[in-house]
Formats: sequence, C-alpha cells, structure tokens
Amino acid sequence: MLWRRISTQGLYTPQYTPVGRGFDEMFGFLEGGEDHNTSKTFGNFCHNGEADLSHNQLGSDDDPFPYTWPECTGFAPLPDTAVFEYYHNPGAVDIESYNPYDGVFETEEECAALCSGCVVFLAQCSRNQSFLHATFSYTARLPAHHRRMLMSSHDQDVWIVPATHGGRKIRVTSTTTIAFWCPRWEMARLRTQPTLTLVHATEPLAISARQFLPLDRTARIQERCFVMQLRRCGSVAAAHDEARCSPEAASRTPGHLLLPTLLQAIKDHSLRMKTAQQKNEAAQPLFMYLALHNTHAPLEAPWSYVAPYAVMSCSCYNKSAWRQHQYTLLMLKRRRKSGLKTFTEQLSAAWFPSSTRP
Amino acid sequence: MRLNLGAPVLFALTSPVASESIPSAPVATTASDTPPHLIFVLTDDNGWAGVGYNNPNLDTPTLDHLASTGLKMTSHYTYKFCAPTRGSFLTGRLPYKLAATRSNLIPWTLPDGTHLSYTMLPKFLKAAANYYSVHIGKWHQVRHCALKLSRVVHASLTPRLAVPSCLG
Repeated sequence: MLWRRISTQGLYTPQYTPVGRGFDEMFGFLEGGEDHNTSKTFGNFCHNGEADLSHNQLGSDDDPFPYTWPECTGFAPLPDTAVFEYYHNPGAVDIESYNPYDGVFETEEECAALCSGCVVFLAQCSRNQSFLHATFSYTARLPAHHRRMLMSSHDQDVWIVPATHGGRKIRVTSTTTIAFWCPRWEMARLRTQPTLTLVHATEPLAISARQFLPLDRTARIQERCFVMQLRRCGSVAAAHDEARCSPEAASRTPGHLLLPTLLQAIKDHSLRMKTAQQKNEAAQPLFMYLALHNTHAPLEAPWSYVAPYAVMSCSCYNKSAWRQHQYTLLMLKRRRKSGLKTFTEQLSAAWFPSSTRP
Repeated sequence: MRLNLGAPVLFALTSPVASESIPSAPVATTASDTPPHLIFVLTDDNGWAGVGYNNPNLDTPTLDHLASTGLKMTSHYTYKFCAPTRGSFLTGRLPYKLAATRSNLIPWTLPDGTHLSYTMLPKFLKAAANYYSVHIGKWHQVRHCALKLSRVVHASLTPRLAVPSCLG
C-alpha cells in the first residue's frame, strides 16, 4: 500500500523519502509542487516518448512500475489539462467552458449565479505592455489553474469599463488598484487584437481587496479563488466577511494545511521531552525542517493575500519581479494571523520560552 | 509550571551545512544539557526583494522582526532553483554536485534526485546529538521511478546497464 501511495508521487525507492534520509517524521508532499485542491502535481502533460502516467498502471507491490508502461505518442495533456489540448489543437476543446475544478467546486453557471451581484469589468490589455508577452511565454506549459494575475495601478495602462458593455463606470485614479485574471487565451487574443481604451468615467467606485474582478466574457471565466471561497463560506456575503471566511479559518491554502501538523509536531515533541524529564532520561533536541511551498508555487493563493500587491507597475511584470512582488508573501505576511506568525507565536507562547533565538 | 525545554534556534532561508563524516553522539542527560532545538524554515524561491526589510513595497512584519532580532547573512547565496537549494542545505554539498540542480530544468519524468551516497542532515544530527528530526512541507529530493522507464524512453541519456531496479 505504501508503494501505491508513493508511486503516484513519482518516488523511486523508499530510501529517497525523507524518512529514508533520516527524518523521524514527515508530513507534506514529495514532489516539487502540489495543488492541494486537485491533488495534482506539476507536469500534467506528456511529450512524445515519455511515460504516460495518466494510465495509472501499477504492477505488483514488488515491482509496481513495469517496463511496459505505455508511452505518450505525441504531445498530449494528461487529464484536467485541457489548456494544453487547446494549444496543441485549437478548437478541439471548448476552452472557455473548461473548469479545472469541475466536480470539486461549483460549476461555472452556479458561480456566475452566485456572483451576479458582483461588479463586472471589461478589461483589455495594451499591446505595449511587455508583461503580456512575458507572461504568455512563461505560462506556456502550465495548467489552466496556474493562471497568473496581471495587475496595474497605472491608470494609463489598463482599464476600461465601457458602460455599453454592461460594465459599471469607475473613476480610475493613481491610487486605484485593479486586478484581473488574464488567461492565456485572452492574452493570445490580445496579441492579435491589441486594444487600449481608457474610459474617463464620472462615478467613483471603491475597489476592495475582495472585489470580484473577472474578465470580459465573465459569465464563464470567473475568478477561481472566489469560487473556492464561496464553497468554503456558503454565500457571497459570507465570502466577503473576513472574520467568517478568512483563509486562515478555512485552512485551504498549502501553507495553512501544513500549519496544524507543524504545531502538533511541536506539541508532540514537547510531550516527549516532558516524559523524558520525568523519567530522568536523556531528552532529544528537535530539528524541524519546515519547507514552505507557497512562494514557489502559490497555487491557491487567496485573493486577500495577493491583492495588497496589486499595485506593482506593469514594467516590473516578469518572472523574477512577479515572484518577488506579487507571490512571495502568501504565508509569511501580513496583518492578521498568517502561518509563520502563528508558528512563531506558538514557539514563544505555547511551548518554547521567550528566549527563542532567531 | 513551564518546563525548561531549551531555547530553540530559528533559522530562516537557507544555510549550507559542511560535514563530511558522522561524528560521535554525545547524549544529553538533562534538559539543561539538551542541545538547542533547530528550526529551519525554507521559504523556497524567495528573492532578495521578497522581504519587507529589503523591499518597502512588501509587508512582512514577522520576517522583518526575525531579521531585526536575528542575524542577516547578506552575503550568503543559494542556488537559483528550489531543489538544488534544499539539497545543498540538507547535504552540505554545493549545488553543482547535486543532480537536483537539473531537476528544475528538465521534464519531471526524467530521472533525478539527490544521490543516496550523500548523507543528509538528519542523520548527522542524530549521530551527533540524538536529534529528533521532523520534516514538514515540500521534499523534492526524489529520484523518480521514471529512471527505470529510461531503459525504454531515455536510453540515450541513461545507459541501460546503469539503471537499477525500481526497488533499489
């Protein structure tokens, strides 16, 4: 059974696992990245000649990986990666109806209905913005749910909300923060139809961090994080309620999923030391290797975590700056209880004495 | 009553460990003799400007506090990818010594991983001071079973005779 578990993670032998390397305990994931909501690792695509892992075939427990594993005969997406199919064979997939969370979260229609009261923007990008091309290139092989967020605070850069398209008028100022999801097919379209239309509206509209900001054709292309939040919280009103629907409370992001185990490990070791002391035995010191994942691949970044960094200039939008400015802080920040803060507080208050030394 | 459990040492980011042989294991007899707890937080691909104390645009009060009350190693560098960085920390080897250095560049179905001949930190700590080691989070030091498939798929890259059994 163990093999059946780790084989799906791509492990070679048990000696390569953390426990095989000397750790007494391990909780986490063995690959380089993982989407905790879909349980998919990176690399959900298959080139010609590579092992086709979508078959999910296993041999015996003694030899779970037979040599006769089927190969991919061409570039092909593994299940749930319709975007690759789309780029491999445009037209083969109804990409706009594609929902990687189908069966897991609300359907697009349900989401659209739930979000009917949200503000809808019609957003278009300028051809002169280099980030479009950089993002397109970088995400060329990533699954659909790895979509990147494009942001700008420059009123001359991005925003458009023509009332003729059903959008509400807004007044874009230098302090306005607007963000939207820009899927690759949208960027591909913009590469051929670049348009920038500034609308000087008259009616101001406050944009909050939890504002729902889909693209045009919004009935289908909805912001996934909000869908997840709706699922957690049950209603639009609750989803907008920080106290009731914070990512911390829901514990759905990778970092927060790890946090309870992290704290429990500290408590468990405290008990081990206490027991050893009571028995007048040697107490073991603890070595904890906490390997966070959020900054590397923030797959389910809560909108509230990302939005504060939506003020970066488009000129900074490249791979490096994107990580540094917009995705680095998902667990390590912020004003409320975040994962690392909770962790350090736990160290200082609940277990370790105040002499905790960084 | 709070027990004296020793003061932990909290590290953030990465720091290579230089050890080539496993030392003997002095055993603590009381809590006061217990070596410090070691807590290492690896933030994974966090750039120089990804912390508030280096970038005023970011809000990282917890990390800023750790930095202000701790030690900032501003001339310490890690590899530019995640797996070699963590492999270097765990083995004490320079990243170019590690197969993981390639794992961020090639398809994940290719064989890769930190070689078993490289002892990792938990075993050194266990031998040195009987540390209890816990890993939480991302590992990514694996050698994929696709290596075995390389007999068929990637024969040109991996000599057939060099491919061991999947069960090692």
